[in-house]
Amino acid sequence: MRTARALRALPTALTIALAIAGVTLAVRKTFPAHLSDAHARQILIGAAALVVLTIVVSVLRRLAPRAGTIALDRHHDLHDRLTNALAFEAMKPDQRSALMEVAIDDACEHAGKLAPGKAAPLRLPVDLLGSIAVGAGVAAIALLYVPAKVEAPPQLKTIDALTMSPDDVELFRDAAKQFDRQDQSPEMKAAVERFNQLIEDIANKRLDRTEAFRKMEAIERELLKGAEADAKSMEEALKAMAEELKKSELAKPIGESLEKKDLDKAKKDLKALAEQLKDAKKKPDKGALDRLQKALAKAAARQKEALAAINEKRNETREQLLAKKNKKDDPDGGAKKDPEEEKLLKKKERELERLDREAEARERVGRQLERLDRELAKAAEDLMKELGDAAKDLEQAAEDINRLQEEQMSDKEKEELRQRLEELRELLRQQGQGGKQRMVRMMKFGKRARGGSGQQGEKGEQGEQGQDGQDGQDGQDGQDGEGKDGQGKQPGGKGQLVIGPGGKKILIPGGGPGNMPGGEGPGDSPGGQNGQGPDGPGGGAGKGAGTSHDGNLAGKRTDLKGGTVDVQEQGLDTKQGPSNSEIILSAAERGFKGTGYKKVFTKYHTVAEQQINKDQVPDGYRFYVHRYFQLIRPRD
Amino acid sequence: MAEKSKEAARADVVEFQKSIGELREEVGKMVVGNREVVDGVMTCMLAGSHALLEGVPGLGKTILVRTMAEALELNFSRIQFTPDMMPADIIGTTVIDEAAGGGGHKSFSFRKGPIFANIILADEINRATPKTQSALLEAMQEHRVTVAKQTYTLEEPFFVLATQNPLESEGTYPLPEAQLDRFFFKLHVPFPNREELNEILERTTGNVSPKVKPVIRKERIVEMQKLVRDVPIAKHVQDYAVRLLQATHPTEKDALDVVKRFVKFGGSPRGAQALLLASKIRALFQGRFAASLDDIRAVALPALRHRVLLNFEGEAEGIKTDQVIQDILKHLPETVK
Repeated sequence: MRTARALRALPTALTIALAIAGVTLAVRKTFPAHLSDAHARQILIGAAALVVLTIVVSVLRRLAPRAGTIALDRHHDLHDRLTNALAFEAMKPDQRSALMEVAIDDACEHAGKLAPGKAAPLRLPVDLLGSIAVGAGVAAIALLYVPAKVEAPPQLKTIDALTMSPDDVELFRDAAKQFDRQDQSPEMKAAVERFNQLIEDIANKRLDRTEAFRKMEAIERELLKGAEADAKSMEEALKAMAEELKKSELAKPIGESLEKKDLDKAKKDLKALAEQLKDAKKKPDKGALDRLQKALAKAAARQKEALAAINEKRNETREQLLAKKNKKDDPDGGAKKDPEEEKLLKKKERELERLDREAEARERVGRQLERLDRELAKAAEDLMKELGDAAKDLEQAAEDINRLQEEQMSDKEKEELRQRLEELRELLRQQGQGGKQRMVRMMKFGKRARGGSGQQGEKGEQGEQGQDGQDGQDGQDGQDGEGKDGQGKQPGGKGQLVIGPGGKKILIPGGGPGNMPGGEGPGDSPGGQNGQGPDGPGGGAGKGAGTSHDGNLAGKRTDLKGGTVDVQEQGLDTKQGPSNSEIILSAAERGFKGTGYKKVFTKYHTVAEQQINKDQVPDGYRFYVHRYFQLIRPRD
Repeated sequence: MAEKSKEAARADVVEFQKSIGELREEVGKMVVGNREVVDGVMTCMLAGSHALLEGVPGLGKTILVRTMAEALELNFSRIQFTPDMMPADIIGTTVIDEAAGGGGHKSFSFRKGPIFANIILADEINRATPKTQSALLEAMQEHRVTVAKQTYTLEEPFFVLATQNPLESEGTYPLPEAQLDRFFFKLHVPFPNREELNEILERTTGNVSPKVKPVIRKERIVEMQKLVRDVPIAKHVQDYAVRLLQATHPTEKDALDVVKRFVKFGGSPRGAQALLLASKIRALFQGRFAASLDDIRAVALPALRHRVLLNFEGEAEGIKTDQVIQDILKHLPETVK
């Protein structure tokens, strides 16, 4: 019966053990890194041990009382005769009733026919089929070949570097060079340096997108720091000074110039006044000088007064604010919070912040104007004492205005640099949206813009040669000698089709330069004569040496004493040079190079700049106009 | 002495089995099929207790009881319970008697009710009010009635057989738990199958009606009841009955989920008594000298189905107590250490 019990328990234990083995094998084969061979073996041994343990426990564990007789009774349909008999038999004889004795006898009668082997048969349980199926599955897993994963070496972390076409890099490098001046303020110099570094970092692919934008923002923040407020304060300060100066007829022109923010004229006017004071003949009368003295003194004091007024208001507001805050923090008063008061308190706080900013800007401007104020005050003092040093003081003041003017120029540069940064940011933003394709297009465009061969390499080469011919025409039809090089190199045809931007075929008229024989005209005469090309008077002297000599040299000696007369000669417009459209078309094919193209570009660019400055053009469109001219700018 | 007793005991069992066979045969003359119900009723009678029959009208419940009464040579009363019935209508009442010959002498005398019989058929017991139903309580438990401080002992054997109609619930008063517990068995009377129905029709639609003759006397019944109590029961069988009863209690530690979920109250100790007595009787019916585990299992349903009360969830889910008891029997180990 115990063996039968072990057999009954076997399928369950076996199925669990096989399932564990299957999972272990699967994990070992699929993720060898997560389960080592040793661990897998340990788990498999554990699973086998589980089966063995189950069998051992089943065999050794005691059976329930009278399990054997119950099994016999059941198998032989004895209705517990045997079990009951054994139970009665276990009682003391005197405790047994007659019916118990009869029951024992009855059981004994049936005992002869018992077949214990049949009562507790050793049958393999049906559930074992399930275990066998699971075992088959495990065997399949064991036989399954799982290719080992080749571990790729860990990749080094790289940044997704921002790329910019070389053409644009060059553009911004050029822009940075323009800002590079000796007489710049230290902060402007630092900003330009940082801008240069940014461009170099982008060019060398050392920055990712986020970092580039972060750096741009940092530079811009530095540039913008207080600039607007300072400019406004400076404007107000100068205006106040102008008002006072206008009160004196002598200083009126200076006041008007300052009011118009024309520092250059103000400087000149100051110098003129100084000259007037120096000159004894032109010296003004006493009344005018008094008025000048008062005007200069007041103008010098005005800035300080303005600052004092702001500081006074600031202190007053701060005191009010503190009083209100104390009232608010008071536990008794805090219970009743009036929303109106809260609102007022916040308003006061904002006002105080504004006044702080204003005072700060005033102080900065005050520092800038300090010397000018001092000079004006000294001039006023000298005028009052009639020491005669007032003119000198006014000249000194003119120098101060000159310094202010330079500082204003520095502000303009800052604004220009900021605009460059804005352009760079927009450019990078658009490149980010356009992806790699845009970059490829830009690279191609840059190459073509420099006259390099793109896809149509051979035709590009021809274009280059033709361009040289045109350069010759751009001078004075041979008279300047310029054309000789071009014409000598490549005679042009009657016109040729070239592939322009976007793959469009463009007819380049080549009649002029092409038909011109190399040996004719140009260089025949010394290039002393000014010519008139189609675009204006030709100014350049001919490069080549002439083939004949001036008849005068062989004639009379030059009369050195004779008076020379300047003669203005008008060049002859033969209409044989290329027109603007021709230059543009040829530039589209051969690259944006050459003197002719530079002229056309400058002319058009100037017009465009004037127009967008004059008209109300949205910033976004402004960018496109700038960008367009950046892309078609002449390349050296 | 022991040898003689053994022989006598064996003879008693043989005689018991013979008597039961004769009784079955006589009852079978009138009642077609329903062997289990007949055996159940006989078991209740031999255990000295009462049975509750549940079945639709017309299934021969009254005939069965009447036939048994005739075959056992016992007095038989049928009480049709109605809502306006009073306890006195069952037990009896005291009336004024005028002395014979006049003279104006009057005295009270007790006039016995229908309960004073050996076999009582309490038809549609759940139609009577609880007050009237409770009038049966003392009689069923103590086999005596008390009227006007006078106690009257009922003649043995006393056997109440009550019927319930499960179809009608309108205007009925369900039996209280205490009264249900006093019934030894609750038997379901099934509808006869095709063969049985044909047999019933053949027997009841002709001119010849079978006659039942008395086969067992009153005294013999009492002897048989005594023998039943002499039947030994082994410890493991008794323990099985006890564990079976305990398993019907939802508060038991090892109670099945179905019991915990659907049972409100488990069987009372009377249930265990019923299990043992009924298993002894079953062993005797089969000519055996001791009760077995099979006997306990066989009598578990009629002995416990009216003693296990379902909770609201069980009622709502349409669970039957028979299902719960069968589940318990399926999972209960025969022996434990």
